[in-house]
Amino acid sequence: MTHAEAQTLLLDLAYGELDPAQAATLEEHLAGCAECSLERAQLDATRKLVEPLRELEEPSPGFDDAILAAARAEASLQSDGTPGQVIEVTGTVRPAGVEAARIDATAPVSAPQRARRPRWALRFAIGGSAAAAATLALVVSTTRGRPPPPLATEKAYEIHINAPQVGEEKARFAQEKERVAPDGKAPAAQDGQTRADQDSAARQPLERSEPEAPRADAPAAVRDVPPAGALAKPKRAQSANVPADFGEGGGGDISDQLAGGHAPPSGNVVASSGRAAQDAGVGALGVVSGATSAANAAAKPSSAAPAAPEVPAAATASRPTPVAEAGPTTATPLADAPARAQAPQPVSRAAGPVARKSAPAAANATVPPLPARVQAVAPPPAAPVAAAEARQRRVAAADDLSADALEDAARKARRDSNYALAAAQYRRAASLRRAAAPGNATAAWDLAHAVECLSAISQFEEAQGVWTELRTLFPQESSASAAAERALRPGLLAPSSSAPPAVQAPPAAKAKARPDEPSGVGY
Amino acid sequence: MTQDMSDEELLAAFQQGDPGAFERLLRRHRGPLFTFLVRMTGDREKAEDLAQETFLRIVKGASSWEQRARFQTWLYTIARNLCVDQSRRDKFRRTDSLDETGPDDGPPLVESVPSQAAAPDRDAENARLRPVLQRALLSLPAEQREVFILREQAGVPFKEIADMVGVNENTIKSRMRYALEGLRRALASAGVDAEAAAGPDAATGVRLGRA
Repeated sequence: MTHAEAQTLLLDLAYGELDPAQAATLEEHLAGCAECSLERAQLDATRKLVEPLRELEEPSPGFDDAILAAARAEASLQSDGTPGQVIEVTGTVRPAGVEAARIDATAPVSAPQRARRPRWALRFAIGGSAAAAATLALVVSTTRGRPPPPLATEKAYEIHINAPQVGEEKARFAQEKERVAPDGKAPAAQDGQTRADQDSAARQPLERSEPEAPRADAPAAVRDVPPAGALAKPKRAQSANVPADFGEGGGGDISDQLAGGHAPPSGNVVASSGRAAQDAGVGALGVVSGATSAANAAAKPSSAAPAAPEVPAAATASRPTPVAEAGPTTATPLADAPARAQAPQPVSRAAGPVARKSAPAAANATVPPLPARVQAVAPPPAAPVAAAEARQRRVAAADDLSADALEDAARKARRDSNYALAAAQYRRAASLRRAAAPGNATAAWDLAHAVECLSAISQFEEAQGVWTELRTLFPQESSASAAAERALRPGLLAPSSSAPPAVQAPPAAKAKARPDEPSGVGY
Repeated sequence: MTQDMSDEELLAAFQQGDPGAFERLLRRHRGPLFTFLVRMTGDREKAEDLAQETFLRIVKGASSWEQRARFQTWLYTIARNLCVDQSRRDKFRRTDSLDETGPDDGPPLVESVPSQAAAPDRDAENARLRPVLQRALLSLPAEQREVFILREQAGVPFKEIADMVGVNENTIKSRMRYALEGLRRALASAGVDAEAAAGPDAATGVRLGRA
């Protein structure tokens, strides 16, 4: 046996993995090789040294319980070869009204016998057809050109929408601002409803809205509306067109339409008898549609005039108070409010999709044009509030995403020992998470990581500031705070806090701090 | 009768619906497996969770098990894979929290892992030596540590370790050599005179130095 071969077999010998013949050969070599002999002695010594590690540890009592329970369950399944308790069900299933096909493969194939019709039946059919055609021609010739008969329910309804006084409006607007500020949450969120709930609620049909808090749901319709500067029309005027898709819950679709310039032309006032709408099975949507369209008309009186001549010019000053305030989510039908209907041609273009999507019964009904009178619609001051709420919700959702991205970037920067960047990104992520959900534990950990990163580059003053912020904002997150405190300790103990800032912790120090961190492959 | 049955026979009996066979298997292997996991993770609670998960996977997978390898190899392969997953999670977490040791080089995690098993034959020397050994063990790279524990403590042959880990046998032996060498150095730096262990007059094979 050569020295190299012996070297490769020393471990096997030490652990008794050699067969007796090989072991004997190796022993012979060891007797004459000082180097191998010394190495074997070292191996044996080290093995003896670590002998206490071979002592067995015992898990805590009760360790076996769950395992044995699972084993018994598994064994009971396997013993009878079935996957579990079998419930045998017998019975007959027959499809309602459909006879099961019976196919006789051995039956002789023959052409079907055609029943011979009597001759008199043919004559009778020909005569009847001729008579029916003559009757139809007569009816058409006599009725062509006549106006359609008026419906029994035709009645002119006036739309009375009272705009509040300017002072009231300002006070209410200030109140709305208070509800939104200072934490930037929408009122519904302040009531405990999560943002996800709001979003889902915004996408639900109108019947799910809450009449008690109309303003809270109002922004749902304009949730995805682009910023005010990007649109020529005021927000309220835009939301007035929203019902075109609202029945399907497509808030996003609405915004797409608005952003893409596909919104129906403003000024398409849709108004009709509330009674007629109710008869047609239309509820709140009709109300909203009419009201918001009225608002639309008010926002662009110049375009409204040619499109809807029924609307008097003077009518463009009122504000659709209860209806428009409730926005598209108000489910309360108003007794004297205008309901949706199919108005004359220019109008029906805008209102058509609403009817089709939101109320099929109404969509199929042909409602003759009804006169409608919309009183003035003032630009609603609540629109900026609603837009702000929608924007805040949108930003919060985006923040969640960007917080994740920031954390990923921070982790990467940290792995690359770019602690300053990592700290900044962690802090930014924390602020975003807090803005999205105050009290978010992840935000607390972000701050803790920022403290660690700052400590790693000896920026102890700043790290201490972040730690203080962490403790103040998240008093309940003791583990994150403790982690940050541990990272800070050397800085606090340092004699001078003005240490050179850009000195990064050497990787060796980190390795020492984590002795069991794997450094090789497979981990 | 089941006392004399091999692991594979016990598992076959369990496949046939004998829960007692699995109980035997569990009692036979839970200690070594738990010890392996404690040594690997340095955390008793974590090791207990992993051991439980390992046995539950054995239970679930028993019906599809075919005897192509030893039961012990299968068991430790599952445990090792779980350990690797856990280590990855811990690594992620550890990167984030830096909470393993104090800045003043305080006691590491392993010292908070006292053995709850009262071993009556353990002498005071071993009791004093044990934390030092565990610290030295955890200072090894994970791929060396797992080979060392599997061979030294669990008694898995090098060939089977190679199959478990997915590298060739020579690599496993090389890792084992490095592990032993690393342990010897770590213990020497901790004040444990490894050379004394080689001496014929060493009572327990070790003597504690200044530590």
